[in-house]
Amino acid sequence: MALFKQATTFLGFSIPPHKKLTAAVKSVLSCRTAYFPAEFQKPITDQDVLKELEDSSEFENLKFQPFLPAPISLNSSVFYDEFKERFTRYVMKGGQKKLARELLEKTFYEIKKIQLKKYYEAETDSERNEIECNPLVILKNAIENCTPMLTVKKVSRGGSVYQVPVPVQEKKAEYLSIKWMLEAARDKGSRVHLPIKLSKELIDAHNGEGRVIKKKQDLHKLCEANRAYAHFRWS
Amino acid sequence: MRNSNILYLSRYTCYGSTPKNGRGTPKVPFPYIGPKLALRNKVVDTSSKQESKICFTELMELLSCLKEGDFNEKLCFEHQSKLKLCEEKYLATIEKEQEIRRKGTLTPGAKTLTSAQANILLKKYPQPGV
Repeated sequence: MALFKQATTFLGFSIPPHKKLTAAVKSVLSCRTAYFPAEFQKPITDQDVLKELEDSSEFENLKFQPFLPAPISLNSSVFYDEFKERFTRYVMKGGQKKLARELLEKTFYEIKKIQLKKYYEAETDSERNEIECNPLVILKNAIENCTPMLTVKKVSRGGSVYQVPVPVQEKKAEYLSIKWMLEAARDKGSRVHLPIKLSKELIDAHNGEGRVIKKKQDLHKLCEANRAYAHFRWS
Repeated sequence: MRNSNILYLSRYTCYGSTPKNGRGTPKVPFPYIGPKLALRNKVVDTSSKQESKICFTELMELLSCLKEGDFNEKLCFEHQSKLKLCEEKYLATIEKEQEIRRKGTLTPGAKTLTSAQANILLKKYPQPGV
């Protein structure tokens, strides 16, 4: 209703609210949801990038540069990480972002607990140095270890469907690995909490073993088995 | 298929009745009624033909490497990066082609024309009597 009032006042005349919207009012309303012009840049939140910009000559030009409004999730905190933000969105179900964030925090806590236990139980210094205790590094490394290089694409030729091996694009590969990871984490008994299972899976993948790594290898094996049909990609 | 009235009359019936003495059907000529038969001053965009088997050898090398190393990904890092480079190169060339296609800048002495280029020329010099 407030939007309607704003639109009508902008036009310079008032329309009784029980009447239908005219074309002119509709055009004003659509402006609110319109795309920003092309010259609007994405907001810069990284402190290091901003410092570099201040020293360079580009900073003078940016003073009069219009910027897009920053999304709520974006900030310049020390704990902000782009990949972590993306991963929470995959964990989220039904728009419950707060719950997803809490679940990820709990998994980080679990990972830290497991790794620190290993760290203190290790006897030599060389063993200790090998153990990674930063959960964020473990998360990134685990997802990178699970990303597939190839996938199969269905192509129908002569009435039968063939599975043709094709290279995966970066975005799609990351999506697949995160999807498999969460599938493995959610496949559990009703008594087990998600963070506990997810933390175990992540540590397994970080070390290059576990269910998700096997799933990736199975896909590669399927590609290898169907290598005879590789030329169907082009013909 | 549903025949039009004129077609039906001309081919199968003569003077309102079909011949019944075994003769072939008489053909009565009729004037052409339809749209004007002339080419338009516009060409429809068609995608260019793909090159044959892009990055095929790189893919095969990667697959054989994976099989040799018992699907250990770390051993095939070189092959993987080669395939990635090849794919990127291919995608970049496609993008370049599409940009040229969209812009439709005319190059003097070119034997083959893209649809955008042909449209520009047709707009400048339209066919007479259309």
